[in-house]
Amino acid sequence: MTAMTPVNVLVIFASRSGRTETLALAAAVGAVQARANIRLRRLPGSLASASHNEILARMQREYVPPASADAIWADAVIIAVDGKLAGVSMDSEGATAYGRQAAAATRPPML
Amino acid sequence: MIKVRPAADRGQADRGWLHSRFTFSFAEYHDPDHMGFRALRVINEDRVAPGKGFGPHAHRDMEILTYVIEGSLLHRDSTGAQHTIRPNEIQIMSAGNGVVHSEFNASTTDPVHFFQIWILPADEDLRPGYQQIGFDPAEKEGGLRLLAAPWIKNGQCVTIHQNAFVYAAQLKSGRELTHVLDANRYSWVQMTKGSASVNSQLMQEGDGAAISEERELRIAGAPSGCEFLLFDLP
Repeated sequence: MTAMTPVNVLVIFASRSGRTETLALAAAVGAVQARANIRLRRLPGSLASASHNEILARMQREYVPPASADAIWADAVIIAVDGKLAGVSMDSEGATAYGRQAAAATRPPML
Repeated sequence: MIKVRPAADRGQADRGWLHSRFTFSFAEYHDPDHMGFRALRVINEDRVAPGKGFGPHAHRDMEILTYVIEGSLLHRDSTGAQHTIRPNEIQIMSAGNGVVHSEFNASTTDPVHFFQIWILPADEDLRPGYQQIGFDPAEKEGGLRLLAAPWIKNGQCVTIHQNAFVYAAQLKSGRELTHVLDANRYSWVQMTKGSASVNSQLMQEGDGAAISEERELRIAGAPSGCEFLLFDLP
């Protein structure tokens, strides 16, 4: 193990309108700022309201759902649902700070 | 000294929807003899099927240039930028201290063919940024059209956080141009279309050339003409 070994942060989110996706992206950026590797995964099956069809179609195209290999890969997991990150309402700036802190506080993997 | 990197010797990946050629080591392609040239770290030539692309992924401390040959590419990133890039445009994303972005073929009917270039920045932990400009294709005909520089020149190029200059050029049959390299400067030429000779060294489509200890480059288009990118590097 070296101090420079990057940690792997898995960000899982559920989003229909793109609002929670924005939080998840912000948290992922924070993790990258802390020099972590990241994976973003979207939970499938969310029903869209008519006004969000275009955003939903984009997210379905851009993201894959989480798989067991992602859980094995991850040293830390951040979850965003219902406009909250890790169960807390916050803005993008707060989400980036959370992602940065979560990655920095995660113990690097033993090699 | 001019050392050609033949197109056919590049690394490659074929995932059905994606055909990639790697001039330097990238992802699963690793060759310790081809890790980059000076500040140039990546030159990937990608062809992406209609509607397909790369989902959100992260970059850090890299200047990432995108130059489309044919088709259109939709870019979205965590700085809030969302743009479509087409031929005769240059896009740069400065990853800085961290950015997450996605790139998809903007068309559902036509493939997109583009080059993606990574250049190491002079400093780490910069603020992420995004720039894109377009130009009249006549501006690259018969001469070097500046695409990226450490400072904005007449507001007509994108800025890069490295002492590097990137140009595009198109030469029709019989046309020739010269580029003078200052002392202690290096160059990479990437042939994007057709073939040419560089100081009498023949280059085919897709070839690259690492150029050291040369003060003047004389580039002449083959009878069928050519297009290329030229990097002037520290």
